[in-house]
Order: sequence, then structure tokens, then C-alpha cells
Amino acid sequence: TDGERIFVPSQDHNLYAIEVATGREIWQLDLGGASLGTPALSDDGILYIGSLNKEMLAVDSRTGDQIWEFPAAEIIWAGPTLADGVLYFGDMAGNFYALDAESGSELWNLTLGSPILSSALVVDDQVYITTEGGSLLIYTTDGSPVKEIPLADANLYTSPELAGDLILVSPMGIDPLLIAFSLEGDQQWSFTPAEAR
Amino acid sequence: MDIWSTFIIEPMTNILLFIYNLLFLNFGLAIIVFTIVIRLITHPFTAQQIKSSKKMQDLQKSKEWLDIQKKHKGDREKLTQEQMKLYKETGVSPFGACLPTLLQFPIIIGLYQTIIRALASSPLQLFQFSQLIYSWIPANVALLIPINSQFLWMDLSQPERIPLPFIPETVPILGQGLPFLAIIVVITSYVQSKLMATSQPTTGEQGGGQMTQMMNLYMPLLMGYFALTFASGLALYFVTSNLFTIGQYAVLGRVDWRNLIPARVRPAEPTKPKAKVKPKPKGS
Repeated sequence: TDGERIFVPSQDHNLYAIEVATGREIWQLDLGGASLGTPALSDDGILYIGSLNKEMLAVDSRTGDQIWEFPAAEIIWAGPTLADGVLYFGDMAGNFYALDAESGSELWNLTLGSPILSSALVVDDQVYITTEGGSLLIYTTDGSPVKEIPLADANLYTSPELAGDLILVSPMGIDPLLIAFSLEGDQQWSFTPAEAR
Repeated sequence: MDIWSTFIIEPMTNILLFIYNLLFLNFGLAIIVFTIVIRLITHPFTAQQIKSSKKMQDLQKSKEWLDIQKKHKGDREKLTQEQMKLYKETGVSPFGACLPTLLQFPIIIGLYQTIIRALASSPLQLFQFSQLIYSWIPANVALLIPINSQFLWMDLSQPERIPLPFIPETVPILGQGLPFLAIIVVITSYVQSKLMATSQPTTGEQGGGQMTQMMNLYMPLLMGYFALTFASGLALYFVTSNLFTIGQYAVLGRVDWRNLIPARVRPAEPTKPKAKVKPKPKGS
């Protein structure tokens, strides 16, 4: 939301802009496929949204007009992350992209080998990515690898979160509900609910 | 490798999606057409069952069978032994009417799992479903998922009910609405099982005949229970499957609607020659 409008992507293939004060629809845009992630919104009112149509779109949030589109190799599950004019997102084939947010041109991409169902986290000059195969990967903002932390037998469907100077991930398929890592990728602690022990 | 998923769920899912794509993204129609395809594939088993039923009927009308009934009337154990011996000698299986029904169970289970997975609602379910889709399927996956679960008045991912606003919610079953599809499932299952069962007397019945009668009674109720509690997509499969089977029997000339009427309890008798009708005297 930008305070005046709420932007709601839907499984009915549409992106809706709704007026906060009245709930009235302002515009809608057919994305060509279901959208499951949260759009990113820039300070100058550009919305970035991916969909199961294998496309990342840049949309004018005031009018709903499409500005550019970028074709990904596979369906885009999660919302993109916007940081310092760069758009970061992954697709179901395990490709991770960094695009120039203004033009939509590709800056770099990675092949991570496992579906990416979550939004990336950008902290300073590092990008934190979780994959369905259970790895937390750290890259620099120019695409250089820093560290890979595999979590055995786990799946990571949710985005990493920043809490203070810790990176938190919530795995599925293993007992811990939450695992905390330092910004360098060293595990600090894990939390397992008493019932799961 | 998950054998069940690789050989049952994935092929079923993709065939169902292919049909769904062809039928204007109508999942109800896709289930109906898919069911017909499955029934055509399993037709040889049905044809075999019909053959077994006919053999059973012929055997139970035969002199040997009736003689055994008469001879060992008071000795249940001996009667069963002799009946089983006769089954063996003539190559008739007393379970011939049950086996096609039992063979359907893996199909029912596979289809149920396929339907439930196809009607994914949460992102995780949608992801798990998307993993089943073959990459070479000739359809735009973005248009296919999520599946449109609405068909007529039903949400195919939920048990079917027709709301009855005049009935309080506290009333069991009907309080949630009329389970119309479940009722149709029970009726069509009953009709199908009766048409499949051999015509046989109810007294002195042993062995496979009793089992068939039990199946005729409990299977429709079991199917009705499934239809009542599980997703209506499965109930749609049951109704389509049952109607198709009844149609199969009709085409093969094996429909005897008299089987729907409970047989009167009577001892088995050999057929007697018809008595000659005396001509009426003139003038009376």
C-alpha cells in the first residue's frame, strides 16, 4: 500500500488497486496467471509483481498501466524484493534474477538448482535466499557467492527475516520452528517447541 | 521413487488437466469425461464380470445345482462343500461379481487424491500440485492453475450440499443442507450392484452368494458415506461411474430390471413342465 491505495494480487489472475478510504476498485490488471506473492512498491509509485505466467511486470500504481515485462524461465511464485534500484526474485526452476528496476534489464542471474518460493532479503550488500530444497544462500548484491547453508531434510518455503543482526528462517520438515543465523551465515540458535521434542 | 505417485497420481493428474484444458476449464466436465475414459479402460474387467455372472446364473438353474440343494438341505456344511466342488468343476467363480468392484478401489483412491490435489487452495498445496504437472503437457500451466472448482451449484473441493434454510443447523446431516449428490450416489450404486448381482434364491444361500448379497447392501451405503463426507468431485466420479456401468450392462444385454425387486423367499425347485390348457366347452 502507498497509504491511499491497496494493491492486491489474486489467484484469479488479476492485480487490483483498491482505494483505502472507500474500498472502491480503482483499477485492475490481468497478469495472465495467478499471483501468489506480495508486490514490491518503489518510492516513485512503481509496482513490481510476478505471476504463474512466468513474467515479472512493472506497473504504474496510479493508473495500472504496464511499464515493462521480463520473461522468467519458469513460474514466479513469491513477490520480488526491491533494494537500491535493483529488483531481486526467483522462479520455480531455481533461477534467481537481479534486474534494473527502472528498465527491467537483467543485471545478473544465478542457477540455484532448487525452486524458490520465497522473497529474498537484502541487508546492506548481501542477498539472503531460501530454497525449497532447504538451503539458505548468501550472495553479494553483484551476484558473487558468499555462503551456502544446507539444512538437512528441511524445506524452506518462507522468506528469511531480519531481527536485529540475526537472519531468521522457518524450516518445514524438521523439528526446529525457527533457526537464527548471523549475517555471515553462522548458526546462532534454533527453537523447537516443547511438543515437537 | 514414489511408485504410487509416479504410476498413478501423476498420470491421472496430467490426463485430468489435459481434459480440463480441452473442456474450457470446466473441472466438473473434466471429471465426468475422465471417469468415462477410466471406465472404458477397465471395460475388459467389467465384461469378464458379466460373463462370470451369466455362468453363475446358468449354473444355479442347472439340474446338478438344484439336486445338491435338495440332497443336502439340512446339512449346511455338506451343502457348501458340494457347491464349492461344483463351482470348481464348472469353472465358475463365486466372487466373480465382487472382483470388478474391488479392482476399482485403487482407481477410486488415486482419483480422490488427484482431485484433492488438483483443488489446491493454499500456496503450499498449489506448489505440491504444480510439481505433479509434466513439463511437456501441451497447455499453458499459468491458465490451468489454480483449478476452477465451481461446477453447477457445487464447489468440487467441498462435500456437496443444497442449502435448506428452513431446517435448523442443529439437525444432523440435513442441518447442513440436502446431500443431493450423496443420495444419487447411493441410488445409482444400489441399482448398479443389483444389476450386477446374480439372481438367486435367498433361502439356503451359502458361500459366495451371501457375500454378494452383503456387498449389494453395504457397498452403496459405503459409497454414500464417502460422497457425504468427502469432496463432491469424488461423488461426481461415483455417479458418472455408476451410470456408465449401468449403460455398459444395457449395451451388453445384461440388464434385468427385475433384479431391483427383492426376490421372494422360496425354496429352489426344478422347473416343471407347463400344464396343458383344456379347451373350454362350446356354449359356456
